[in-house]
Amino acid sequence: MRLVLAGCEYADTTTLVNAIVKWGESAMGGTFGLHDHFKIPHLSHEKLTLDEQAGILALSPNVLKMFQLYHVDYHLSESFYSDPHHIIIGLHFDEAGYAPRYFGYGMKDVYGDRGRFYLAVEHRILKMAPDTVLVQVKANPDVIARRMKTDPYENQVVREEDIEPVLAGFEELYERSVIPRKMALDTSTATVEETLAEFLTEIKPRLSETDRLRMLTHRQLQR
Amino acid sequence: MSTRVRLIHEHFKIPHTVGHPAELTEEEQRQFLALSPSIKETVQRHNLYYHSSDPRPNTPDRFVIGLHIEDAIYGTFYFGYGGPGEEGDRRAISEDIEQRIMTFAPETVLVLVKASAEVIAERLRREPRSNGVLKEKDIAYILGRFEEGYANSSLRRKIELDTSSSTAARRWTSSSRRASHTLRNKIVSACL
Repeated sequence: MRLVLAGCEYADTTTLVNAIVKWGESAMGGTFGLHDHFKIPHLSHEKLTLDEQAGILALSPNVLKMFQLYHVDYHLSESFYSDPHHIIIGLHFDEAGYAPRYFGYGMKDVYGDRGRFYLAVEHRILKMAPDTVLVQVKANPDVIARRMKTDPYENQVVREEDIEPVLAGFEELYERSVIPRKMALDTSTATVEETLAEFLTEIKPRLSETDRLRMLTHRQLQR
Repeated sequence: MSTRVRLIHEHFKIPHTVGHPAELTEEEQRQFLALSPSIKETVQRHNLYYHSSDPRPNTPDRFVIGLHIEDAIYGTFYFGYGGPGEEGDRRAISEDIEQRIMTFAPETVLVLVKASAEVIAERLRREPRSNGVLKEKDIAYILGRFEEGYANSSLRRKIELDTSSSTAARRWTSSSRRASHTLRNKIVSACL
């Protein structure tokens, strides 16, 4: 299964993806490669120390822009797509949604324009894995603001006063996406279990034939 | 060849890791050097893979300086990452990068550019580079590692050029003669 999940910080994308991976591994077998490290400064599988995060945040926009270019490109390579499962969180959405506003690069019509980059990444995904499903995870601004206050992240990106425009930006990116298999999930009032159930309903008609066969085979082998 | 080489990728030597559109400023170099070994490892790995991907359309020529050979040597020796058995082990990464090169551009020519230890030391003293990597005491060892990287490379088309006493023009004449049998527009150069 190939998924790209995207959503504003505090939309609970990470919580949902962990539930999806757990379901996927039990339904299809195997191990799901999960990449949730595209949000500056959290650019690693392992949790970076505060010093390391500070080091990344101290980098100039020029350097960050190139690092993120290499970073995104690396995760779209054939070695990842030769695996049966590849799940990525944020990726080009985070770049287009956050870089121009918070990290000083990727502005429209300048070198490294993240709007153009966004489209280039989408076409690359479709070339590498046309069965990819895009999942937009969203919540309303009040809920995002409340989660931000009750359970703040280290070095979070989004500021409270920007929640609405950032959400609107993510919405626009989702609408612009050329990935034909897509769905939007709203976590404002739903529990993780309820959102997972909605995901399972929505993913069924979007699953590739190979994934359906994997599920059937796995079910047979479990008997 | 009546062609124009659009870009030469010479940005694999920490902290000189971004080359387009401009070199890093002194401040940017300082910021890069302050990153932890683990982050340097990750960034450099991504840098290597980005520059050994399938050729972009309309770019028949690709010139890359240093790439995996340089990163494997300097990363392990000076920057504390990529050692045997560690995350991002540079032996494994180097093999993978060479496989990618052989897949995407099997006509690639590897050029080892070298000079004697005395000449390197003299150049190092006469014209030191901003945030240069090499230390004078390590020259012999590092030269040996580059020889090793060249010898162990699985790229089939290889050329060695010794710049100890020759001029650039003489080197070009000599290399173009040798390269005429092998050159097909892709060059990976490994040098100090």
